[in-house]
Amino acid sequence: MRMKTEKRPAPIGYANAGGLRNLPRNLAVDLRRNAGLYLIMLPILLWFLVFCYAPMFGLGMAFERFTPGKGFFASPWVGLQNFRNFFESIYFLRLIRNTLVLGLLDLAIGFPAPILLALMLNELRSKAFKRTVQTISYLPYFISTVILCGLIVLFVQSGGAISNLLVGFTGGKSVNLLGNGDSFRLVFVLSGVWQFVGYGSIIFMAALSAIDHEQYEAAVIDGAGRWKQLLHVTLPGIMPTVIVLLILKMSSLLSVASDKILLLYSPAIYEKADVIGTYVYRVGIINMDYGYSAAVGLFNSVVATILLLSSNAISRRFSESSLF
Amino acid sequence: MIAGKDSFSRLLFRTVNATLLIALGVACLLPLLHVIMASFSEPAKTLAYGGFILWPLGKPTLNGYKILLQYKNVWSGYANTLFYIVAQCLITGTLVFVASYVVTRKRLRYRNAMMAFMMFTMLFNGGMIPSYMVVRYLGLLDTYGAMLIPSAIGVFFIIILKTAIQGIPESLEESARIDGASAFTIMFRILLPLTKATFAVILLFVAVGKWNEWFSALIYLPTAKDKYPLQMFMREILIRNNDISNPNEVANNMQTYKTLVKYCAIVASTLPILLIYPFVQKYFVQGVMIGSIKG
Amino acid sequence: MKNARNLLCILVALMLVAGIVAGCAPATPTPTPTTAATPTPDVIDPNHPTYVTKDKVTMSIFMLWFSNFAKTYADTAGAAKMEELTNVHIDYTCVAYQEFFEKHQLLISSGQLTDMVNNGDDVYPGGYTKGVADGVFIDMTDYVAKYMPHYKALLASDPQVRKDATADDGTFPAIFMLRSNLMTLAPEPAWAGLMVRKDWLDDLGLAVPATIADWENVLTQFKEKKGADAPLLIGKQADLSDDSFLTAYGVLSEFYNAAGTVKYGPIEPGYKQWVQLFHDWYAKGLINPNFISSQLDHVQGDFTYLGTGRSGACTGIWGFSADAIKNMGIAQDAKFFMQGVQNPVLNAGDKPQAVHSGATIVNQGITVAKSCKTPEVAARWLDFQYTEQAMLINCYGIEGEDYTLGADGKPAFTDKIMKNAEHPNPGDMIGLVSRGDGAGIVDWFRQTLTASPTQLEAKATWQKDATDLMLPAKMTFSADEATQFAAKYTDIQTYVKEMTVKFILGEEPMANYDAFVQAVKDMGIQSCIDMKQTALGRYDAR
Repeated sequence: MRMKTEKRPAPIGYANAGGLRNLPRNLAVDLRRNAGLYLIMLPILLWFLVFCYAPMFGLGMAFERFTPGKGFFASPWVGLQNFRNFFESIYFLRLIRNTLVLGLLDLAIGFPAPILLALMLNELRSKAFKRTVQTISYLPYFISTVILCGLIVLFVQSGGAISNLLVGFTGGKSVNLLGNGDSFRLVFVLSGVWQFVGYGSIIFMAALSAIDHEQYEAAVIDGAGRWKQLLHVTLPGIMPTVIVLLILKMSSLLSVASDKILLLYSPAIYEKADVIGTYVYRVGIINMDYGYSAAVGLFNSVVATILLLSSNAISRRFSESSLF
Repeated sequence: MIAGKDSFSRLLFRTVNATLLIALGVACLLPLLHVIMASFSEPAKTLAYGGFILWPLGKPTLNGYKILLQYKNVWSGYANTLFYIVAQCLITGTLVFVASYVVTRKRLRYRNAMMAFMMFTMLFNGGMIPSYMVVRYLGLLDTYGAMLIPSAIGVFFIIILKTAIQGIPESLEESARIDGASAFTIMFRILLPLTKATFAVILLFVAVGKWNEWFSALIYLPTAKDKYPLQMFMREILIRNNDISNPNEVANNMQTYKTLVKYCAIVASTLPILLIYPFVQKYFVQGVMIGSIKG
Repeated sequence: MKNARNLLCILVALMLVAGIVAGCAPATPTPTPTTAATPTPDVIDPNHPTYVTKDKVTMSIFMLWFSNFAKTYADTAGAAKMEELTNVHIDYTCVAYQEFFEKHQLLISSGQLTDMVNNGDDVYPGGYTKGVADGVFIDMTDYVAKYMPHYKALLASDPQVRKDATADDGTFPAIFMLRSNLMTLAPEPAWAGLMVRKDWLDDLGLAVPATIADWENVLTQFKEKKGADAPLLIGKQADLSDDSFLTAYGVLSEFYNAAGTVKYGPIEPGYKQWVQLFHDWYAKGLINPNFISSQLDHVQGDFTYLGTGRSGACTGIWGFSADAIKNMGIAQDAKFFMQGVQNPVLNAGDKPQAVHSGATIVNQGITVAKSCKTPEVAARWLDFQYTEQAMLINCYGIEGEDYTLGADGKPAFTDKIMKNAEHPNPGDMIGLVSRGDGAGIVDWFRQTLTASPTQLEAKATWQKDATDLMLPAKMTFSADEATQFAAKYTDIQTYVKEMTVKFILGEEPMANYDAFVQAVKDMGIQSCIDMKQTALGRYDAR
């Protein structure tokens, strides 16, 4: 467990206030004191500068009517026009709503599922059984989206196995579950769980294995049953990993798997299934407008940043873990 | 542990738990089984069949694999991919470890600033064309470096490893330092063994990612076909075999043959990577030796 | 239409491929700068090896070409022959359809162009005129006049082709691939259309359906007597492929030509009648109940349904007509036969109207990069591609080796192509020895050499449909218009598709139809129609 750091006065040598004004001085002191650390970090920071920051001039495309022939620096500047086109679409709100709903559903179901799986596997006694289930559950991750979607359609269309199964429960006629916006959302999210639950649980399995065995022993001595052990040792043990991944997941709330939606949706359920990614894809078919796609991409990035920062802040406030 | 110790509710829980896991296992096995069985089925039957294929349809056939093996490039693809995986694991593993070590040093005043600097790139990126231009400018096109250097670091991995390192009690490091351990000793004798499960997961993710990667080869290896990873060749085979845009080239019996090769290609390009997970699992041993290190 | 289809194909295929495995591309050499040999294009003698240039020149070209069995087109005998004849060495950058879009984007945006660029399906955003205005391509107008006699003569021979090849402003920003039937310019016959199970019709004693009423009867009988649970297959969006039935009501699903006036189908009465028809058919179970989850393709009906007797009619690509699906082994019925039929009409005797039609020029504009140091040589080389000699190399390979010319002058592939032990599929061999699409003339007579007569019959049948409703494929927007159009039309298109499917499914009562039309009008469809009308006017004035 990470100890909560207490507020301490600045170490000797540093200026007390951490503001920008004291940055040069503090940085100089820090560099001198931790020269070794900075030295080994230097190539890594340089890598980021070259391979991640240098290409960021491409973001400028969002403010241009990008013309490939003229390139990034000579294409006509259109300011916020691309953004305006997106925001002024009569479907803007619907797209945001649908994207958010799918993102949140995935957060609510898709995020805890691998944790639950890891915990369930953790309760198994037979090592062979545990390893087998673990390995098998990560198989769907490797099957391509196209083939998976093909199978999904087979199963949930009218006459398909799952649709028929539902009829058994609810009665009525076997319907195409992809023909209804609400059932589409469930099919989308649950199939996502099926596809990623095993692969996603790997990271939690690793976190579980890092828990100090002594803690369990101590708990047993204190008379804790399995349930108490779960609550007081296991969960706190994996909590930092869970929170960090949750914060990351929050930031990708808007990036739902649009390639999968494209394979499953139809105009009949645009009302619930049309998301930012699929809409931009359709715009792309009509007109290859790089600027427009870039603007939507940048909008997504900004939203992701806001979500990341705020969930990180919330997490810092209420728990001991956070990204930074 | 002895089952007899279990209370009734515990037994009930274990039964339900095992049943659910078996159900999940079956659900997860089905699609793979479908693909494997389809790769041995008569392709026409596959096309006409609407459902999970659980046994070879019609007379089992190896034709798909025979056709696949005609593409001699497949072997060089396997070799290249293997090389990329090993090299990438070494490079990424080292860099991620170093970065995670640095950003978890409390005495570093700007560790969070560095973290933010790196994380920013997770949220914003310049897109395909600018990245290509940078790689070209550095003269990396058509080199092995083009496949390894632009993908050298993953911020996500740094975050994961950083979290794992932060989970190690500080007292452990402090006592080591008091005993006169160098930074090097701390890194390799304490941090690495204690985060080995997470580290193994990171390497697994790197390996799986590398195994599936083709896009950077598509744009960064414009002519160097001898450096193509496996998936590039697989994709080439599939491209040819999905060419519905050219109906005049679609001879009468072609569609069926394409279907078969498609499934075989998936099996051939998926199975090997599936096999590495069990090797990673051995690092997931409950209760690592914090005690032993302490002792 | 064909443009849209190809773009769709590329995008869909890209997705399919990207999804299925993650995997790769054929070799594409980096653009190499032209070795600047000063050309002296004085000798012009078609039989002389230095026809294009006296001194050897090296040029580079970016083009569509893909074979699993050769690295680039440069490896073929045809490429060597072409070099021998023209004295121009070409560095080929070959890319496949499925990766064309990205590779082309990289090529243009990264600023290092090949001397000549095949732009596939008009993928330069804003069009070729814009490409010239942007300073990326050379305006070829003067070069065509001075150095391209063959191309010029071909354009002069067909007014429609001349119009299609000319930009709105009268220039030639690109040199287009032309289609021919044995060197006579001719549009490729229709490539897709309606198909129906002929063997079922015969069993039931029914004639080939011609009117909407005939169709309803045929589909009903298929359902009742043949047990088809999805008698007619339609597309996922009730689009494209289903325009066939729309034509009976004199409209298309998007913009169409009403005797020189551009109209937008969905706000016309005909569209409502069609929606009502499909609504009724859906309710009666005559349409695939799962059509919104159609997977295979936008155009080709699902083999699973057809092969297993669940469906008896669909829109399809000609390659899958006749007994192809049976030959593939999917259909077990020995009599299985899909016959191509003309589009339906409302009243017997009306003229069927096409939705899928071929044109002589559809795509593949070849442009010369501004950075090309020897544009005259490029022009001469391109012009050479429009000779019969070049056409035979590009489409048929090497005479004597790959094909022979009959007494009637018609080429026929040799056994090396048709009965190759290593590559039993002639398509693979043809792909290996010929260049196919690209600069020059592409002879669709070639298709007839590998297709069965019954397949060709389907094509011929569809070709009989009139093309009155179709707008010219080559009418163009300016870059500004394109942006404006997209900004407005994207939303309208989304709305129309959504509502159309809902009306058909019965989720939206037909009573709301007039409100739907009003909404489309309120969204500003008129300005889109006006833009199309202006573009048509410019096209007609060429």
